[in-house]
Amino acid sequence: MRTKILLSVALALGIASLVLLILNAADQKTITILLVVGLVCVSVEYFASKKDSKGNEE
Amino acid sequence: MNFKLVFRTIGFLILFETILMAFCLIPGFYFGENVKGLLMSVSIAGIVGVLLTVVFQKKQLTMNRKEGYLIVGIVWIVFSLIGSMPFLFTDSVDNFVDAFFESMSGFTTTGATIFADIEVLPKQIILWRSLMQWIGGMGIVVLTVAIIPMFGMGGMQLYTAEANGPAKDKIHPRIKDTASRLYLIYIACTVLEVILLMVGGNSFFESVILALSSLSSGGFSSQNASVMNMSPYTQYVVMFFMFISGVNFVVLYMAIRGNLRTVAKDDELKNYLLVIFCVSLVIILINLWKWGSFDDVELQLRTVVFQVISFLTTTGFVISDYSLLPSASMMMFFILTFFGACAGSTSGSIKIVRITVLLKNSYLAMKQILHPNAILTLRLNKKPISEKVISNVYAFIVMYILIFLLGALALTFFGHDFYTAFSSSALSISNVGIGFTSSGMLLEFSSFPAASKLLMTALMLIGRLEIFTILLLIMPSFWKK
Repeated sequence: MRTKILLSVALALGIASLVLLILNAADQKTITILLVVGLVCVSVEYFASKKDSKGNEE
Repeated sequence: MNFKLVFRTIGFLILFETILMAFCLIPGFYFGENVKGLLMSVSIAGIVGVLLTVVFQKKQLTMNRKEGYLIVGIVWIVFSLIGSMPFLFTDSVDNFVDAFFESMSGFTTTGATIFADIEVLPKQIILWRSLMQWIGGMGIVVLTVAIIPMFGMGGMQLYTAEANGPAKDKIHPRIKDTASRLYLIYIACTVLEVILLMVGGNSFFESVILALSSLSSGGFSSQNASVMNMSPYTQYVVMFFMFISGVNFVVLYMAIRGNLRTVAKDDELKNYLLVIFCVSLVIILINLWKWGSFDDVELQLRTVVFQVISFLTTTGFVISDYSLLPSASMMMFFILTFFGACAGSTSGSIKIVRITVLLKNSYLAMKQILHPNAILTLRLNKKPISEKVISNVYAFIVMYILIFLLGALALTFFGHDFYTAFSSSALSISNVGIGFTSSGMLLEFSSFPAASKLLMTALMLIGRLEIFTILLLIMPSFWKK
């Protein structure tokens, strides 16, 4: 569930930034913030799944 | 073949590349540049990465040999494709082939460039070029030390298969832990180099660019004149870290841990130092014989030793116009292109350990003629080397020379002269990035035809992944169940 939510948010933010860039509808800083939040979601998911697999191993 | 696992792993790796690409936004904002092209690249790369990770979810995550080869083989191509986006979207280049060439040259740590004027590029792009090399260098260290030996191939097999020397002693029994220790050394060395360069008066940005490019044995600089116009202090620091980039990272780890006795016994490290010393000495003597005397002895020593280390470690930084040297000195540099430094380092080319095995075996073959009944064993680090490993070394060197020659031949078909074709093939397959033409140094490739550039990118990849990783993928038996 966590994986789905985090990756969906990241995907949505990525697509939103791309659309905004193409339409020239937002300034650079806004798009950067969207992308950084998306990448933070990806990083959180990565470390959380790493923690999960460690837990499973133990 | 578990393609789901392959694509999922590649998806994760793309996300890693995306995060690092996003770091280039920092100089973009700091220097007030237009970062829309880079933002576009980050968002597309991120979407591709997330989609691959989500679509190809699979619980079974055990990877077999073939999947490992496939991931290793294609990840460099995928990274280069994604890495070419910032060049295209920031209008730094006007066509895909040039962008792909620059990107592949970066990730394979070759350092050959299509840019005639680097100094006009946006700072975000200058950082991305060096960052690609740093990622490539880090990937190669982990690949050669921790991953490829699992598959029983590559230069490190000499250590892992034969259980000798410090390098074979995996730093830690688990590959993940080995990799993280190597990453730590790599990151620590990079930070140290940045600090030392800043102490010498270089700006933070310049120091980061130089550190990323020298430790990865890449050679991309932020200046058109490479490191020619930099202070002697900067050149010495870069020279030292280029040297470090040529040392086996496992040996480096042993040295950091204080296990100096084991490090001192390492044959490859001794030979690496010996090659630097002997080749530098020979070039200095040739120059002295040709020019009669030196105006500045320190300058001559620094220039020659720097350039020798640059060629040997396949970095490709340039400290002076080496094409003005006597022909014999230039020939020495050209020969060095085929040496490479130690296995398990970030450098490319054949590697000293393979050349050592080749020469020792040739010596034993001659000795055997004199003493037909003698039982002679090839030893490395005082441990015997098996026939299988020796045969692998021979196969590697034969294939290396064959691909180099075929590459040179193909380049002549694309209209290059003999000199340029040989040099371009050598600088690509050995990942040096600089070469010679009949009229001087070969430093930038924008005027090359698209076909030549694509061929050179293929040679860079084949050389970087130690030939067999790529050749295996084109074997029909690889794809059979």
